[in-house]
Amino acid sequence: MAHEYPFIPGATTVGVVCKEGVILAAEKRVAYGYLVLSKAGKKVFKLTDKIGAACAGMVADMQMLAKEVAAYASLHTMETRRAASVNAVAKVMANILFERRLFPLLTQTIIGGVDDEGRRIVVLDPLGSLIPDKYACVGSGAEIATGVLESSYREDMTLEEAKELVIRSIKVATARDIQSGDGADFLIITGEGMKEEAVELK
Amino acid sequence: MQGLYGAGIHKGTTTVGVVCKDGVALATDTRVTTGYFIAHKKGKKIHKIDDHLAMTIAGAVADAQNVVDILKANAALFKLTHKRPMPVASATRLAANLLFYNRYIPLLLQAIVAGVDTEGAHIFSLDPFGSVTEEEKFFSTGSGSPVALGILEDGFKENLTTEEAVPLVVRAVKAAMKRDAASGDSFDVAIIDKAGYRELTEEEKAKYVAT
Repeated sequence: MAHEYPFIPGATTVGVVCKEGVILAAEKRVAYGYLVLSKAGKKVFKLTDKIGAACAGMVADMQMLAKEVAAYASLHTMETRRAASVNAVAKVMANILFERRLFPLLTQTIIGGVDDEGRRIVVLDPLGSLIPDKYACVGSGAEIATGVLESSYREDMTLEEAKELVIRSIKVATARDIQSGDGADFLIITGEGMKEEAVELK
Repeated sequence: MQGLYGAGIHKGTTTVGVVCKDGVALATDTRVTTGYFIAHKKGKKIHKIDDHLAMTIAGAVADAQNVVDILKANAALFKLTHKRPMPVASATRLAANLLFYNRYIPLLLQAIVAGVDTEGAHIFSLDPFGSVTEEEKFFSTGSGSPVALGILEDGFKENLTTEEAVPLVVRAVKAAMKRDAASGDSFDVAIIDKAGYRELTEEEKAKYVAT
């Protein structure tokens, strides 16, 4: 995405389903072309108590999108008196994205979380396609991160193992992708709830 | 199609559909690519619209999923208001209208709409501008379609049953997976007959994996 449009910052964003829950992670660099504009960009977002999003692309777009989806999700919860499912949250985001097909929000998103049906992640493109998967990477470092993730991923990984793997894949991507780096934000979601963590990449 | 906002716009696909005596057989690969990058290895490209109706998609995933959603809703609405299942031709026409009304900024998708109704088994093909053609024997879409069509031209016989057509559609998709780099990873198969829509289970598909 970032190769063709210099005004879109690159990113390495990863989502993984493991035995106990879901891990979402994104590195923190915001770079326009070769200029590192920020080393503290936050690309993971809480949407509900047990659902989060990790994004790549235009930072403004992902922030507004996350806010809007989080608002819809909380409205849904108030109206139905139960927590929104990962599918429902993903679909609402897909609809918002597809509504703007002619003037798209330039973001790729991984939505992940835990609901009654289990642990799942879903990947969305700028136009709002919805593709469920067990592990996924988006952003300019996705190709590199996928290589690492794919070689070691197992569905029965523990949370700790999965976290180590995600760190390793982001590390490799930040080593080879100029537009990714400066540490990573994690969103670790289990049946109990959500935990935010920042990891330094050395 | 690659390069339009860079991501998620995939065209590399193989889908096939065969008209049978008692229904239709559909098969697709499951690879989802963005350019030369394999973004997903298990993407769903056959979508159930109703018990008697299904659609295979190739092209921009978001556009295709939106058309599928609208078709699903309208097929359900049709059944409620008319107390009978939506004819395959009607579902196809609805999709074609959606595509044609976006004539100036087309929805980038190629689709096969297939199903069984009172008139029998049907397969229709749709292009991005809303052209509709009813296929009498078989059809294939996506970047792997030339390879798949070769197999279908060779292996198709009149009055096949869906059970007999399954090995043929699998062979067509698997050949395309081998010779088209944008298709691959795995395949899905669906059958629609009088009994309704059915997807082959992993165990049922396993016997074709080696071939």
